[in-house]
Amino acid sequence: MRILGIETSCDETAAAIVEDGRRLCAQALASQVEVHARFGGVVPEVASRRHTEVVTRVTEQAMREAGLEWHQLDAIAVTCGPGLLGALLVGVSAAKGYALATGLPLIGVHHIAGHVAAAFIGTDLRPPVLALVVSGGHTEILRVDEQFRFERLGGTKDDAAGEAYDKVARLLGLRYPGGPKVDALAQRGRPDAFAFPRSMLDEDNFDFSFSGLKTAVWHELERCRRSGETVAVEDVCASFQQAVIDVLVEKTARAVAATGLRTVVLAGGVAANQGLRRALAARAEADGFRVQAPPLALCTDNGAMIAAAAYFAWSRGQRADLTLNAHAVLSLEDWQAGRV
Amino acid sequence: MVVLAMDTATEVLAVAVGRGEEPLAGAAVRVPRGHSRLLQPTVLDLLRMCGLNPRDVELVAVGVGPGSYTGVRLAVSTAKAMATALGLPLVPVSTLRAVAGAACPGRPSASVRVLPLLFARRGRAFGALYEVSAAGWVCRIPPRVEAVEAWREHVHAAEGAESGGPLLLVHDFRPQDQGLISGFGEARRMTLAEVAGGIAPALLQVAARGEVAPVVGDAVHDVAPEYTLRAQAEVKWEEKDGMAGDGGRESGGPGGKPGE
Ligand SMILES: [Zn+2]
Repeated sequence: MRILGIETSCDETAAAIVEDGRRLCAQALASQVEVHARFGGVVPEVASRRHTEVVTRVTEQAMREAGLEWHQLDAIAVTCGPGLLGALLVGVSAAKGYALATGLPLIGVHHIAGHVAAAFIGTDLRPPVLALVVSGGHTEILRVDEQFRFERLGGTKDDAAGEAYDKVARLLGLRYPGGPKVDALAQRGRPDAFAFPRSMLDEDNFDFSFSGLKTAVWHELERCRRSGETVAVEDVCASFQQAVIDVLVEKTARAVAATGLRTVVLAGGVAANQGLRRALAARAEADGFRVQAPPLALCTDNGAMIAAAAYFAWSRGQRADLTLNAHAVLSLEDWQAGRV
Repeated sequence: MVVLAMDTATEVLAVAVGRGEEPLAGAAVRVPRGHSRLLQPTVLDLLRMCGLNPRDVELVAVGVGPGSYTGVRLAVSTAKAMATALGLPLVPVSTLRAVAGAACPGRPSASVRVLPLLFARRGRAFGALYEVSAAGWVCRIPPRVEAVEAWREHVHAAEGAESGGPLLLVHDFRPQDQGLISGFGEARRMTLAEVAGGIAPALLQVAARGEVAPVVGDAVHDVAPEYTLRAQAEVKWEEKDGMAGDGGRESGGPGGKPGE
């Protein structure tokens, strides 16, 4: 079964065709990172305008690279939430236009389900799995059952991990998007240089909090500034990153123990973080579970993850019709129940 | 020739299916926040009513605004997807021209000036000035956003120069904002709600008569809404540190990004 997936929930306009949720036929992407860099963050109206300008061209490019005609597809999938409403609406409108023109069935996909599904592409991995989704907008631990249905075990109470990275990057004067730069600088610093807090580790749940960590970094930088010390940027990055990773890895390992699931999918933009990948792999080795992360190109937002998730959703009977709408806020429960 | 027309830039979701400029079926839906949900099902329903399939469509016309930013993107994205998937030409038409056409659907023997004004907040309106006569439509002031005051001046200035005929003002100002659009002289007034059913048929007319040239082939991808207003963030950015030569201003400098 061949599915075209379209993703426009934030600042990437992306499309891809995936076969049976596993085999990537082709993908295309128009990134807006440079467009938003000058604003220091994603500007929703600017993002929506850009999506409208490029969405059909990106889709056609994916189709052409796959060497496919519309009648050789089996369904059209699109991210219907969560995300920036105006941005989501462009993808949903285009996808509905394609479905209307071609008569192909339509599948609305939850963005987080997409991130998790990305880890299945090119593998023989089968659910059930545990998923740690870490991105600019999300930090969640999810249980994924045999039918690719999600149960949220925990998540962040305030900032997403990726958001904390970007905010710390900004405190350090690194240009947006700063998350990957923090990761790179952290590789050269001492992770034990500063004792930043590990929030919520003493709590018996799978929740996170990262806003206190960001504040601690701010206090440290202020202290340096007042005392005239030069800030060892690499050390700040390394210590900050270690604090994030420690909490993510520890809570994930606890979820593995609590659920008995032996495979952890690491997904989302921050899944590309080298430090996190290494630390989780080391813990998996010690505790005897398996970690599966998508290739780097499929960690950030893309169309393939939407097409892959759509395949699993389709397999358990999920369909949308032309009344499909976009939702800035959308829970996995509402999505699975077809309330889109 | 089967023509499909759609517009979502105003509070009216307007769709019509026609043979040439003759409407076969049309819909004007004013369900608040209903456009994104209802556009495509409405298109499909109307085509079916006419005994047609999406594959039977030969030309797509779409209203490209100005109007609601989010709204206009719905029809533009849908129309581009349909046109590119079906290999059809796409006719991008100003929503203001469609609204004007809806207010004055026939061809009057003596010329009439039509001024569509769509509320754009802060005392402004998206507008354009058209003149229609037996000879057809002429655009006197192309679509743009201006203070309502400025629109009044444009109209009066035109009256001084050449008549152009009586003025027909069609607008979507809510009752509490209608004080803003007083003082247009003897103008006959209509509301957008009153002319809602004529918007999509006007698009059919513009497209079928070739008043706007169809966009074909690869260029269909580049059809974009005509917002007439820049995104607020871009305007602010340029005011702050984007524009060279804005000498007298205090510069934000490289660290001048706003806080969280
Ligand atoms: Zn994402």
